[in-house]
Amino acid sequence: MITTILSGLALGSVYTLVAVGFNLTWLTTKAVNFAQGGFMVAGMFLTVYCYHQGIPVALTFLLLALVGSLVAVVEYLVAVRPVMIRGEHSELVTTVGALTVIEGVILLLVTEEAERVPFFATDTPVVSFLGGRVAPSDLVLIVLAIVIALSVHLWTTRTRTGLAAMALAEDREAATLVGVNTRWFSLLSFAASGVLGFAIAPIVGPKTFAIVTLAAVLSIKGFVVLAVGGVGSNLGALIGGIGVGTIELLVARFLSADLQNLSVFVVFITVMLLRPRGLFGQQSERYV
Amino acid sequence: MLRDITARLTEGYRLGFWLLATVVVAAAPHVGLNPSVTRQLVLIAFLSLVVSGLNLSFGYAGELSFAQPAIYAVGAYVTAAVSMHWVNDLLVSLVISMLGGLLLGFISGIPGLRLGGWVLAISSLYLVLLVPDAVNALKRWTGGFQGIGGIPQPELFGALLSPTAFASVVVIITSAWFLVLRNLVKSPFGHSLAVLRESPVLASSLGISVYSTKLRAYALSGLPAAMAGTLFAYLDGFVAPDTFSVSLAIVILAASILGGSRSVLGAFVGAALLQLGPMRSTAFGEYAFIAYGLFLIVAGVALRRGLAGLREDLVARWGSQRRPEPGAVDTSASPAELGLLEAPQVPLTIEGVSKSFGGNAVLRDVSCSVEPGEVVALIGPNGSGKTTLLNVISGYYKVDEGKISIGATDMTSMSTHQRARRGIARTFQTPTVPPLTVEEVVTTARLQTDRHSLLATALRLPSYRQALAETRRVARSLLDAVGLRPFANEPAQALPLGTRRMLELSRSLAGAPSVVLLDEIASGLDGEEIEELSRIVRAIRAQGVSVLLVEHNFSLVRELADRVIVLSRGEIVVIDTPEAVAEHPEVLRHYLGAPVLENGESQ
Repeated sequence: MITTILSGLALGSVYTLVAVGFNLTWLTTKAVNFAQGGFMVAGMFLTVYCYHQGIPVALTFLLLALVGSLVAVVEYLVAVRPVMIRGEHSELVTTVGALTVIEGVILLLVTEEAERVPFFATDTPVVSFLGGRVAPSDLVLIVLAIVIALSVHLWTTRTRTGLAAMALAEDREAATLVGVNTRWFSLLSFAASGVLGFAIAPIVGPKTFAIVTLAAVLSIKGFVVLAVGGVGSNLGALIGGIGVGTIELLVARFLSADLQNLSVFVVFITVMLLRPRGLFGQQSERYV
Repeated sequence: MLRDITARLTEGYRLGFWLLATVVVAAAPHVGLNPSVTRQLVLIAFLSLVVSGLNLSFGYAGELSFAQPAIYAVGAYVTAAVSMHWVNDLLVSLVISMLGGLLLGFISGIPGLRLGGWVLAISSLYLVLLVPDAVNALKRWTGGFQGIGGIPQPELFGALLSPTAFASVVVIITSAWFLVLRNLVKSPFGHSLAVLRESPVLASSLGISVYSTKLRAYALSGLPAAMAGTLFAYLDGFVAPDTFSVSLAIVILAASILGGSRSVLGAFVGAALLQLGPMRSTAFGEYAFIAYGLFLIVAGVALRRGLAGLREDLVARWGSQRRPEPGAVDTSASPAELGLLEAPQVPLTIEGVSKSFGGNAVLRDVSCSVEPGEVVALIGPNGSGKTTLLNVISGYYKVDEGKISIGATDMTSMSTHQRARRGIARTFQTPTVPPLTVEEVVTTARLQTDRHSLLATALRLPSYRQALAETRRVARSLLDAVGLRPFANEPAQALPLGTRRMLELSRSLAGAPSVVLLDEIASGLDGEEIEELSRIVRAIRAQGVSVLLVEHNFSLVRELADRVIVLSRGEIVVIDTPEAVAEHPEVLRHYLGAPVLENGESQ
């Protein structure tokens, strides 16, 4: 039971990290970047490559951050910025396109479609924790998700730049008028989401394995967590992720593995129908 | 020139051409068409069916849903189960899986109703993720991850279909569906989807229920994918879950955008190009994903209406378009030609209505009424609550307190479209016209009065034709009355502002309303147009309609209104005749802005 819950928390942490990535770019562009899951999977394959090449861990992280910011900025410039002003969900099509390109590039470069991702910190396969058994990478993952989600949450609610980003999400034009450099903010937020997606991969990889088709799954589940928690809320992403991950694995463990994905879907639809703005979402005014 | 030629290709002519093409293609496999070519043809048919479903939800209903592969899977597995365990008949399988497709299409649309956009896209994509789980859970019927083989060759009316005969049946079924789809989107139902895409606010003011119209579109979008699923199961007698993947959803989306999502034949063109191009060649395989992805980005950014849009643009460029010059509108028609239908003559009554937004009281205890055959003007300074009152009457805002009724019917708890169906019509401060022709825009007001079943629409049954002819007659006589008849077939969005206001006015009348709400309808009109407008408003009054008019132009108010309501800071200052109101000291202070002396005289 504890083992399942810990494992669920770790899985949920992965979703939370994807959702926080979504939030970063959503704040500044009002576009959910569907390629976010692709960042993570691309990062995993890059990690495997670095490992086989014997590149030191610190350098690996640096490389991941660099590639991540580059990929995300290119995506923003090519696929998001041209359609952003249109405001008719064109980014739905273009960011799905970006994800597909990332998947295509991975497929072209790798030999195996699925790879084990090494965990750097320790070789110990499992440790005992609170009476359950858990992989050390899982524990690191849970801690990281909590730390990252909370710090982004504090950043957006307490700091000057964070509040500027929130203002941007609220009303782009008004934010421009009071002197927020919206273009620069949008670019930076994409870079940040790219760094987050890629650099977290060595921690996520040991749990999920590097699998190409995982990219879309991570984006979908990450979005479910985002919507359940409330779009724009990082606290919601954390609670939503933990909740969804735990429910998913508890259902798989005690009912049936076939019902695992269905249970998440049921949670998603129920929350959307009963509380469309999500658990921690802001009430949006209706305009006529 | 080209426009005239295309106009001469009448409906019957096009239908004849389509049927001929169908017969030729369906006959081809029997007169020596290479089996591998025949197979490609069949695969194009499958893909184009699935893509046409996406076009219906994405292109026409306006929201991106990825559910097609899941519905395709339902069609295939239902067919496998029915033909292996119950009865092997193509028609039986087809009908059952179509029912399944309708149901899944309907269900897939529900999550997006209130939220749309991303929630619909992701929840429908999630359905595709669930396919392998569902297949595994129902292993007894579906064969699990390994797939299920041994689906028998299909029978039709007791006769076993050879592979060539099957190919012909596929062509005929696909052709028939495209005909049905064309009939659906080029109909009042299609127009209601166009109105909905343009503005849900407008749609509900015309009596169109946003939710039920969308749900019907989503349900219908499940039909072709389910049909394709049935045919797919019979093609090789084998079905496995990995066919119905997220990648397939991407291919379908790419094909839809390539051909043009808001087009009927575009689905076919897009599917054919992808099937014959990238999907066939294995050399391309390695780069396939990159190519699809890049295409989605480029198409999403640049090629917004696909190949169909390109064709329309060319036609528009070569054909001449007539646009009314300001003042070119013929205003000689007499009011008697308005051709309004008899509507029940009932008063609009507002009793003690209050409304506040977050503690800010916009309407306070407002009571007033508009009697049949009366024009009541609503005036007041900016922010006094005029438009809010109209929106409360329309039902866009729920009142905090008070009651709104039309005749003896209490409407307070009704939604906007229900109120519109009870006879409340309106215009907006900024005219909203969907991308339809002038005549079609007027007919959209009758979508609810002349409802015909989707079946009658799809098959063009006599009941549909009769109702449509009647609607057109009403629309034309209204267009005659406002002088827009010469532009009946021109795109409404190309009209100048003044003309669009007249068009909105005729639209508001087309549904035979009991109450008409006009929101600053004279603003931006020139003198001649205002005269024309007053003439029409008087004609409406003469028909016994209750008219509530928000207007800044006080001389027009004087000319038209029987009574004037003066609103200030959400409260009624006075209700009286225009003459009395013009002399009222409070009004002079509040509305005309003149400072008032202690003894009540204005300076």
